[in-house]
Amino acid sequence: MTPQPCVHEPEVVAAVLSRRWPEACDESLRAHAEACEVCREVVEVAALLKEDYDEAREAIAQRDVPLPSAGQIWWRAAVKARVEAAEAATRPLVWGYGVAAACAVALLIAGASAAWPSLLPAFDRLPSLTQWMPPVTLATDAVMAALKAQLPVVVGVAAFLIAVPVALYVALRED
Amino acid sequence: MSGLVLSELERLAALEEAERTFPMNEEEFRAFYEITSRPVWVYLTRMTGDSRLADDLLQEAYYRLLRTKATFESDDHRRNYLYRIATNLVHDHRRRPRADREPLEDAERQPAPESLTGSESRVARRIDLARAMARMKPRERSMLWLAYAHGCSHEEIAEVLGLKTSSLKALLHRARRRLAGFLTPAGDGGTP
Repeated sequence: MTPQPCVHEPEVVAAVLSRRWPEACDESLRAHAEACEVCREVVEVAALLKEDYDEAREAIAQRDVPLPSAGQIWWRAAVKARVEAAEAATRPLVWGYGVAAACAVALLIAGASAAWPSLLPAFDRLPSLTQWMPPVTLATDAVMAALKAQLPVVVGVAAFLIAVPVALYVALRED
Repeated sequence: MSGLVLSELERLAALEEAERTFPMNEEEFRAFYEITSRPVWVYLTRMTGDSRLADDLLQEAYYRLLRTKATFESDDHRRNYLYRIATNLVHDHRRRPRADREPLEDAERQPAPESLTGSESRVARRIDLARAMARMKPRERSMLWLAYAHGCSHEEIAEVLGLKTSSLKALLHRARRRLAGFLTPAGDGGTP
C-alpha cells in the first residue's frame, strides 16, 4: 500500500526546525498534529534529528582538530588540480617511452634474425669449446641443437616477456 | 595524492590557475564554504559515523565541486550538488572493503564523556537515535537527515539522492516509519 503523506507535514517540519514547535506555532497546527498520526511521527523524528544536528554543530567548536579553513581547502584543491594536470600531461610521454622501448626490442630481434646466418659458424665451434667441461646431462646436445635452430625466437620471446611488463609498469604506475 | 612534488613557484602558479579554471573565485568559495562546511561535515559524520573520515571526505567533496564542469543557477543548487557529491563519497567509501572501518554505532556515535554530565535523558535520546539510525539503510539515513535535520524539500532531497520526487515521498514516509519504530521501546528488539 502506498503511504499517504499529510499536506501539513512541511509546516510541521518548518515549525520544529525553526524551534517554534510547540509553543510558538499556530494553535490549529498543534491541534492537527495531535490528531494526525503522520504529523505526530514527523514531530518525534524531526525534533530528535534537529537536536542531534544542533549538538553536532556545537561540538565542532570543541574538537581538537578544527575544520579546515576555506583558504586551506582552496589551496589544497589548487595544488591537487595542478598535480593532476601535470600527471595527465606526462602520461602520454610515459606511454611514448613504453612504445619506444617496445620498438627497440623489436629492432633488436629483427637485427638478431638478420645476423643469425653469420652467427651459425660460432655455434658450430661451441661443442669444441665446451669439450673440457664435464658432461652435464645426456640432453645437452639436444638442447644445444634446439637452441641453435630456434635461438632468435627464444631470445625474442624472452625479451618480449621481460620488456612488456616493465614497459607497462612504467606506464601505469601511479606513485 | 601523487609522487609529483611542486616547487613554491609551481604552487603559486597553481593558485593562479585555480582562479582561472575553478568555477568560482576564492572569495565566492570562502563565502560558500562558510555557509555549507559545518552542515556538510555534520552530514558526513552522521552518515559515516567517523569524524576523521568526515574530515577527509569534506575536503574531497569541495575539491570535486571545484573541479566540476557543471554550472549552477544559484547557491542552493550548488549546495544540493555538494550534498550529492558528499552522498556519493559516503556510498563509495561504504562499497570499499576496509578492515579498519568502524561500524556506525561505534566511537563517534557514542556520547562524549563530558556530555554525560548534562541531561541524562537527552543523552539517552541521542544514543537511541544513533542506534536506530545505524539500523537504517544508507539511503534512508541520508533522506531522513536531509529532510528532518536540514529541512530540505522533497525536490532538493530527490536531486541530492538522484531519485524521482514522486518516489521520494513514499520512500521518506517508509523510512520515517521504520525509524519511529526503532525509537519506540518495542522496536528495540526487532529486526530492520
